[in-house]
Amino acid sequence: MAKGLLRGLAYLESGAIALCGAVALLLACYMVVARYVAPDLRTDWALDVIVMVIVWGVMIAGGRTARHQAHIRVDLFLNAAPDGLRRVMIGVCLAVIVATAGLLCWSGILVVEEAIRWDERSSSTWRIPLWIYYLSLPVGMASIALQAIFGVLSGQSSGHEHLWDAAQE
Amino acid sequence: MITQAILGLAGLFGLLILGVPIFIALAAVAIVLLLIEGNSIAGLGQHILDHLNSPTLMAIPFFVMAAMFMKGGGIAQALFDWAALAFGRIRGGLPIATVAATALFAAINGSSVATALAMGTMAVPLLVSKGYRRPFVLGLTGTAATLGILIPPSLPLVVYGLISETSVPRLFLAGVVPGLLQAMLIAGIIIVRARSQQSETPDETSGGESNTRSIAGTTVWALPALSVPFVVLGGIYGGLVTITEAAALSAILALLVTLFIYKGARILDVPSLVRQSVESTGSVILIVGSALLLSHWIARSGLAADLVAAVVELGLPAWLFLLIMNVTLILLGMILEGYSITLITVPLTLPILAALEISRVHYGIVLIMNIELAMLTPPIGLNLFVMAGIAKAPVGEVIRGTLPFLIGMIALLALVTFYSPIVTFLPDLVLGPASE
Repeated sequence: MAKGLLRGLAYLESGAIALCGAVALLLACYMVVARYVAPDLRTDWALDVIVMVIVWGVMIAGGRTARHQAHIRVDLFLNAAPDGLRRVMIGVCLAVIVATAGLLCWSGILVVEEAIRWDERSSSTWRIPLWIYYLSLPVGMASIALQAIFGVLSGQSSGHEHLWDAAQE
Repeated sequence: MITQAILGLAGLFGLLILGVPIFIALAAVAIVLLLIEGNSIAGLGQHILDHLNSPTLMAIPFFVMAAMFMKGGGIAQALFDWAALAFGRIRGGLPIATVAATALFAAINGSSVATALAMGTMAVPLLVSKGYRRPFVLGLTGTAATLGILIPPSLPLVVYGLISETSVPRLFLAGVVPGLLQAMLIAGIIIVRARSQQSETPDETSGGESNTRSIAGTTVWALPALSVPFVVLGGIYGGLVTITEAAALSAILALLVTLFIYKGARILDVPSLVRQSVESTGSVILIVGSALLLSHWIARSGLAADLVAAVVELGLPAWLFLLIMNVTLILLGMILEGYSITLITVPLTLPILAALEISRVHYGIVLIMNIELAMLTPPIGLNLFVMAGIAKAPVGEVIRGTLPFLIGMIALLALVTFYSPIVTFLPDLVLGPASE
């Protein structure tokens, strides 16, 4: 049951990332075409949307990448360390990830609250509410922190199989 | 302030050694330093979000998409066949054709790893089957593939331009002459070896696959691939599109050409390729966000001014600073990958560049050439592992094959470091002198 739910979530996540990338790509091309085909058409909003969807895609991907432990890092010393030391190193890593991503998530929530309170909007034609863009940070960081917590709970630091990886197979 | 910076750097390297993801290590150090300075918690997130809201940064996912679409093959083969027409009939001609095709491929994508994968998958089996020794083939292909980040478009140059606030079109132009020099250097080493070590370079004069097609036919077949750099770079320098739009156009062109002309991928593969692009971009963009947070501390804390004062007090000449940076970057390249090197070192070196009157464009190319070396130096040289993976060869064999080319590249780096007009001549000619 839990595995099925996680698998469904993983599919949803990868679909959302692909959708964000595709929307951004099509909008960027639309901007160029519209500028030369219909110069009177306002396309400034497209840049806002491109930034928004790419950053959302990046933040969603951040959690997914954390799950696969594929974020860029120096694993040279980690791989060379003896088993006992490696467990300690992984434990410290996970604690730093939870603390940092957790703090950035909290910071992001404060930014979203401010943006809603002051009704902050982008300066383009569409005047998109900025909290939609800002929300990507707490969501992404929460996802990264949760992956690290799952890592601890599923015994990643002791070298056991990762719950999420098992769900993916 | 210097004490805080030293402690921060020590903390950063401590976290990196522990294996903490680089974006988390940078963010953790920046957060601690900024909170000590009295920054608010909300300010941290706001700063990251404000800096990620950059149209130039959005060029990165599009260039990565273009590289992903091209990686499947087809384009690399068409370019190789075309280059083989020109060089395939001379001794050592096929390796030289590989270098020429790699330089062309580098002009349509900005990633060294994608170039290594695409060119290596196609060229390595062919050259080995023609009798060239495997270490030599792996070394030359791996080295030539580093052109992917020097010849425009270049992903690390976009990141450098963003963080150093330098014009990306100017940086792209600055990479052209050093890139061509590097391609000629690799070809020169091949020719020298062809003459001195007959056994390593067989008398291959068939011209490879190109003999099966007419010259006109091969050229027509390569035209769609060759048109990509013209559209992208022509669009940028013709003032028709921005960097981000050019990147998106190159992705769309690469997709269309790969799907419908060279059949290097299927339509069903596209969503997965787009997802992979955003995911690999994500890792880089998160590092950019964290590095900009650290840059914010450097700017706020007055460290930049302290660093400049220290350098002025030491009376360090520009050439010595560049030499020190080259050695540092080569050493860092052994434990960090390119984006991390850029994002960790550039915020600290920028104020010093201004004080020593070193052009940011010149330094950017020096940095990129160091990243190229990092891709070829163990223990984490990415291109070494890509080539080893393609040929299912031990990494040691790739390192052995890379060594002669590596020595040549270090000589070229020295030339570019100490004679800046090689870098600045073309952008100054096309765009006028830089106002830095």
